[in-house]
Amino acid sequence: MTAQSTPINEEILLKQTGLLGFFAGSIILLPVISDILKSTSLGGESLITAKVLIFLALFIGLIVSLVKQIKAGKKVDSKNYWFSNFEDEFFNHINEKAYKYSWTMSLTTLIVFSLYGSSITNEAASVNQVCQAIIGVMLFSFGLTILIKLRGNND
Amino acid sequence: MTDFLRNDIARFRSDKKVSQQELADAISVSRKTISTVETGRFTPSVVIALKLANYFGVAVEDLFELAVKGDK
Repeated sequence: MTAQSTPINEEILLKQTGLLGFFAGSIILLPVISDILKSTSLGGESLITAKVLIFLALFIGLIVSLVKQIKAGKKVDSKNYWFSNFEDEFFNHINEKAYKYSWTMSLTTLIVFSLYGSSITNEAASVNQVCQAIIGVMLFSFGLTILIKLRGNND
Repeated sequence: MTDFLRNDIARFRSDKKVSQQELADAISVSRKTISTVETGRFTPSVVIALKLANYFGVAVEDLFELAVKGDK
């Protein structure tokens, strides 16, 4: 039996999807950012400690939001859940906007890497690192857009 | 020159003494949809415009009007 989507359930699902994207993107971007910082004056012991603490906080956030997102997903129509559709027009609009910004940010990252890749890091970045950076930016911008758009309408 | 949609939903709503949540429940949308449509931050589809007009018992043109940025 498929669950009936209600605007309240869809709002919870969208919020948790946004949080999930934000935490997952941040975790993936963390080593990339720390690699860039390593080559600057900010690198050192304190950077490693900060990296571990930030990773732990983000990881806890990721697990919590993942559990809540799966729970919220069970309360909406399963087809809509898997195809990332929302019956509520405004939530669907936010979701589509997030995809749009995410695509633009990913493209910008690719352009920046293709033009200045070797000058951003000391050594030439590997294919894995570039892919990591793009996936991170993609998820982070997707999640952040949803959270900002939802937060701005609490009136 | 940019066209935008001006609406009178807030006035109709206060005349009828219904909250955003009550209106949202009546036409099966989220409260945020109502709130963003009212403030002009989100342009609704024809379906929502018709649902709103039906709810208030008026024509869509009484609820929405096309305006040009800079107009009062």
